[in-house]
Amino acid sequence: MEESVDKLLLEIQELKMQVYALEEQNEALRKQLYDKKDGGEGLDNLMRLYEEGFHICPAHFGSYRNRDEGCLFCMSFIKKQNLTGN
Amino acid sequence: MKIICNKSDLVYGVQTVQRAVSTKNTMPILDGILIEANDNKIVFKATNLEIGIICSTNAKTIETGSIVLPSRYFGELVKKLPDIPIHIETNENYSTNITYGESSTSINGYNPEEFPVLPHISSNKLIKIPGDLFKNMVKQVVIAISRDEARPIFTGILTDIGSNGVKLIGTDTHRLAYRSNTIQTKLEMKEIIPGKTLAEVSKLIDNEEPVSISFDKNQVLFQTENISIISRIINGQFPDYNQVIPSNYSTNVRIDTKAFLQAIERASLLVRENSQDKANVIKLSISGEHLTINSNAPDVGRLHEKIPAFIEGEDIIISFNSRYLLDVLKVIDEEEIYLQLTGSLSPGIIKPVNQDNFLYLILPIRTV
Repeated sequence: MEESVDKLLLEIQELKMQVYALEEQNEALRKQLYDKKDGGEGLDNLMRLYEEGFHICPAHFGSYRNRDEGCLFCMSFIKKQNLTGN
Repeated sequence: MKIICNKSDLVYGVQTVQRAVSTKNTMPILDGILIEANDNKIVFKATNLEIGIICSTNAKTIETGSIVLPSRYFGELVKKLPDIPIHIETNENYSTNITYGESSTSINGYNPEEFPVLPHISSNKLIKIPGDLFKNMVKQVVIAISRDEARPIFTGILTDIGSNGVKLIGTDTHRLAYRSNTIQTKLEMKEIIPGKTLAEVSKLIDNEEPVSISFDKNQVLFQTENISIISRIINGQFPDYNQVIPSNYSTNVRIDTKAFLQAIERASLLVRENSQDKANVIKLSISGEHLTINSNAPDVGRLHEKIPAFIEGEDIIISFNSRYLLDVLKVIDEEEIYLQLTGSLSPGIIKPVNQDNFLYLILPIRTV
């Protein structure tokens, strides 16, 4: 009886260690995935802001722009971000 | 103050400074022209606190002194005076008699002590530019500036002075005009000068006379022999213009400036919008040996023009605001221009064929 309890305890201990390792791995993967997503989403968000009619160029970030016509500085900013992203 | 002067000198002085008289009636004294008489010279001064103009002309000074006279009455009166010697004499309570022959007019003036003091600029940051060159440079750049006072830096022209000479850059963020010229200078500086000031200076100076420009911390002074113009400088960071100028292109069109201008003028007739904010869209199709212009206004009609052009690179269809094209084509004196494009969404470049010192960048309009 004592022997089987010890065996079970050992088995539980091993399983616990395995769970820890998996949790750690899971977290690392999650972080990796999140970082990747964040970079892409940031630019997408900026593009969306621009399309919705706001400046995203450093000089006038967030201010309203005429949607009929583009902004040279926003366009060059997007182009620059795209180039550094690749 | 008591002076005698001739009509043409008086009209010249008054009309020169009148450009700076305030149109907004916030301070009555700013509607006035300050006249100072000393040493057989009269000096006219006017300011709206943004820009100040000083002009000196010859006169016979009998008694030195000064007076401020309301521009709207004095300015109109001097234009209508007969061409004979004109006597101007101030009395008590700042009333001023203007006598011509047997006739006279009396105008109530203001206390000259109340007139704002125009700042004195004595700076060693000075550059001299021939009058005709200055006018040409300003004319080519001022077209691209913004009128939107909410974004002040774009109502100004970036004046970039360095060992290579002077560069002027104006942009309203939809288009950008760049003009450079080699001028010997040791000065290294970048300042944003209000576009309105540069346009006024251009109108006031002579082609043959050089204009000297000096800067201090917050002001800029333009000087010719008789005229001084003082203006504030716009504070702020002008965005890096170099990074928006494309370094390559996929389509290069060489076209006759006049033929292109006239076709765009006709095309814009149909799509002309009264509102400054609305774009007047025209479509350019570049293929083979022709540039085709199409403009279409469902209520008015449609236009189709074909102009011969020398085309290198990819075929392209691209839409522009016709007003932006007209503005630049009117200030290019060269017979032919290059239109350089990189896809229908990227900015296009317009520049004269034989002139490297001017470049105009224009964003296309996205049409669905």
